[in-house]
Amino acid sequence: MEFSTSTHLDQFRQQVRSFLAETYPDELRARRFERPHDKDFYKAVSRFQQEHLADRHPDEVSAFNEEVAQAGIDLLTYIPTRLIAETLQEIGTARQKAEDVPRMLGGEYLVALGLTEPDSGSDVAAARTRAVPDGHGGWVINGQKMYTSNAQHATHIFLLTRTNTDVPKRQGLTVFLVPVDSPGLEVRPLRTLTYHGTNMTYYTDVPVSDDCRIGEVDGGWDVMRVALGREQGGEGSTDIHEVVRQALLWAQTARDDEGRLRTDNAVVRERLARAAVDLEVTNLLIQRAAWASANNIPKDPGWGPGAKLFETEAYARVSADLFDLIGPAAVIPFEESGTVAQGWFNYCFRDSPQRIIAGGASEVMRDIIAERRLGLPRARPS
Amino acid sequence: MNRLRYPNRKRIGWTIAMDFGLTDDQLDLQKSFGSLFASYATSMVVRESEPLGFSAQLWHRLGDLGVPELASAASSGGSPATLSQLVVIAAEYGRRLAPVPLLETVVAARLLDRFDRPPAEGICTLALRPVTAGDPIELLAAGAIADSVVALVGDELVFAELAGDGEQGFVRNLGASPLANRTLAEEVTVLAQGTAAKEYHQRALDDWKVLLAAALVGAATEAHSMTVAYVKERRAFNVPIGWFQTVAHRLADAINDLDGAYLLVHKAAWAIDSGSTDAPKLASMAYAYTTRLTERVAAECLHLHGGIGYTMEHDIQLYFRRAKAWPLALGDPRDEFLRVATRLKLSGAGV
Repeated sequence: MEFSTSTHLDQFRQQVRSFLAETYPDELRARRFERPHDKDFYKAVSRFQQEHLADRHPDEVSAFNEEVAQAGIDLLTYIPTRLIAETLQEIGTARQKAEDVPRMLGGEYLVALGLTEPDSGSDVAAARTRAVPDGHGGWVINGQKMYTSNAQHATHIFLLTRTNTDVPKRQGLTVFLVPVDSPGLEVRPLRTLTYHGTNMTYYTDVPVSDDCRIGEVDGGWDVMRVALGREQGGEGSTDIHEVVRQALLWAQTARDDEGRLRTDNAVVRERLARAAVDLEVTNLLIQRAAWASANNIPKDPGWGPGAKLFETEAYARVSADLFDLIGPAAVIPFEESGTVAQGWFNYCFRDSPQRIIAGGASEVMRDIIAERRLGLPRARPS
Repeated sequence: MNRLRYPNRKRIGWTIAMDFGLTDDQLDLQKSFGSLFASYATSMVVRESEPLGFSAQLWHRLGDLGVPELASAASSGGSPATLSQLVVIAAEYGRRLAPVPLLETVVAARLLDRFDRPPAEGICTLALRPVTAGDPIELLAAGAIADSVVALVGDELVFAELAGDGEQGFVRNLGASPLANRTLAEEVTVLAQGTAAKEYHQRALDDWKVLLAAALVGAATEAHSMTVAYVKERRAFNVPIGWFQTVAHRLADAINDLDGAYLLVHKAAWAIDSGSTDAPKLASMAYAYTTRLTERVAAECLHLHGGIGYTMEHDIQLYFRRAKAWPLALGDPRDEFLRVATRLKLSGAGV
């Protein structure tokens, strides 16, 4: 195995740093935990990624993510757009490849995922939002989606709908790329433990033309398999990195009520060490999954889900523990002044539970590992 | 996994990049040592070697493959095995719980090599814990079969023959390891003194920790495979017990966590080989993380076998006992987290 990074990478890091310094507006940094969206920055970062990370080399991707995290920036909300662009590149129509893909990769389109519904989450194929032919070659959509994250900024929604109710659930799904400004489409914010970043979306007689369809009619599950297969797990998630870094910084000077250094306390030292180990393991699992993808190496079916599982569980474990370590001031909301480490500990504790759930809950990841990697009998009903 | 050379790399001028596959030479070692242990460290051999934990026949076979000389530049024609290669051998050793003093002899050979000394005749071990001059070495790893030792005595690193008979000093123990109470012969060779002595000892200890972590990953991975096979076969309530998510999910977590340990061990070995300043930190991380994990995985594997797992008849107990016992040759494995903290350069009083 080889873990070194080349000198080229140092130059690349420098390049990322100066790019971010030039293009990221300071005003956004102050509102970082709200996952703010700025169109110009989004375009700039999309072009940068297209130019420098197109072949997604794991060293470069990790370096990019780390620099982004250290600059206090969060790009998590931009991941679905690239995911869908890559899906269209693989299975899109000629028009979608020529028109939609460049706009996605160029930062003109921002895509939100419309998958989860009030009655279906991890069992995503149980979606009930209906699409029916309008009789003139187009479609009409009715239904409701939950957790349509980033829809308030998005230009399009990657929408999973039901087009056939007479067949087993995976055979009656169709996917559309629906413009957010379509008539009858309503975005309502959903308040969560952290920021306003997610929404309910309502679809009332939303007209959609047939060239917005992705994949075959009733072939939505195949599209989902391509799109979700592109997810490597753990990607773009930099918050565990930042919460551990902040804790190690904090520990250099923090003192207890008697004025002793907190790091004179062996219990504190052990916990910081455990957090650092969790971060190291997280990085290795993510890097390996990325390495396999970038180099077309047949990867173990458990690697991607495994990276996601470990990373999100470690993030929650570490965030909860470091929160305690900070002491009474940890409870001050990150939105207020007077927080420790610009509110990182408060934010990460509140943010981490959703990461274990979003993108396939840990239980689904464990099911995948058990079935596909260990060959254990499938436990879920289909 | 074959080493692939980035067929789709487009950028020109890229020379080195991360590679999570084993190299050709690592694969060769995995194959040759794997098949040797599979043939000569069967569970019957492991059982028959208890309680001493030594198979002379297997040790001779390993000698034919160059153990421990392969770890020494002086006796390998100037190209000793790297730690990255040795961890592959250690993992295979762990997989079969091979009853031979592989880790200690290899680490001692590497240490002696740093003083341009060839490996000692016979079995030379490393005293993992510091020794007080004049006192016997208690529970010396591989002590019951060793002829000589490298030890940190006071502030001197010494090489010495061991006095008396090894098997007489043998102490029966949970892991069926050849632990023994031994005394140094009168005549000792001082290799280093003062800070240097401690640093050499620390470096050897880091080698040992990474190798033991590799062995534990090998052992726990094998215990895990046995358990996966078992839960596919064993039926309860008319289904294989692996059908139950409470069983399947524990095994899924375990294999994923073991992947983390495997990668961490390889990264630590790589860091030591390449002289990285992160090497001590990574060695401690690999040891701290792996020892805690493999103990838990071995216990879960025993548990998932149900009652039969608790019997001496079943092989899973061989793994359960060693996963707990092996790290104790050094001491409380949880202390390693405090060394990680020190090596993270935290302020405050460290170890």
